[in-house]
Amino acid sequence: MSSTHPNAIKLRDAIDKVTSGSLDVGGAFAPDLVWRIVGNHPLAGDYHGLDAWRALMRTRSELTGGTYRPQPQAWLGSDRHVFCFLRLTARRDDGREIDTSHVAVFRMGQDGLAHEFWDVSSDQETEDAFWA
Amino acid sequence: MDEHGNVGRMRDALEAFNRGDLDAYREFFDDDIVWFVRGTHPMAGAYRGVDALFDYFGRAREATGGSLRIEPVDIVADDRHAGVVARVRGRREDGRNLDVEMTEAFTFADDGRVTEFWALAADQSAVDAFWA
Repeated sequence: MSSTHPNAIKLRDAIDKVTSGSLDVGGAFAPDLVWRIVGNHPLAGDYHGLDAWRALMRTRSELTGGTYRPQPQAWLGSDRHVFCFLRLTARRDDGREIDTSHVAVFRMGQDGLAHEFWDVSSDQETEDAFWA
Repeated sequence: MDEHGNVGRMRDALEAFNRGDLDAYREFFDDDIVWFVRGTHPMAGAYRGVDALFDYFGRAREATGGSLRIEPVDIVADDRHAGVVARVRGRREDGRNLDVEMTEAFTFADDGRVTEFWALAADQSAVDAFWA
């Protein structure tokens, strides 16, 4: 079953830790991880490696005053990918808010680690305006 | 590992689409489907309701002489969600070709019909140029 695939459970546990403030993801993310942020806004781009990923997490947390909350609804995995369906809520200092549906995708290597990540917003325009 | 029934349903739906059986394909969608098409091309936008959606599919088929194919690379699913990574290929009459990896998100109603869809192309500029 997709929802009980070991890759889904591993990524779910890793992201739970991230959401609770830990940036220690060595058991789930490969050192050569590429984290892709899609869109037309200042955070968009490809982040290579765990240091770049950690810096992005800190920037995102600062920009949202700690209100960045991905709320997973389902974790689905196969040998090759893990999909997380989630609702994202966050708020900027100037009052801009976001409340959108996303699917986040991790490409899994044969080593059982995530090597690539991309996030698919159901509403890219709202996403772009929020981070602008 | 047991496969969730919705993985098979998604595979059946894509097969119906690929063989051009839009009547069979239509059975997979809720009347109130909302289908988001990303991009800056003329087909981009939100299609609301199954009639609007199949008008769009009809125009897409016409524009590609029925050559559009969606080949799933990976499908994950539970009762409410499916994630698909697919290779999408097609050809316009003027010779323009599309060959792009897509990430697709589906959500299901209680009866298993698709209520919402959104997606991301690995190369959006190729998609925009193909449908322009």
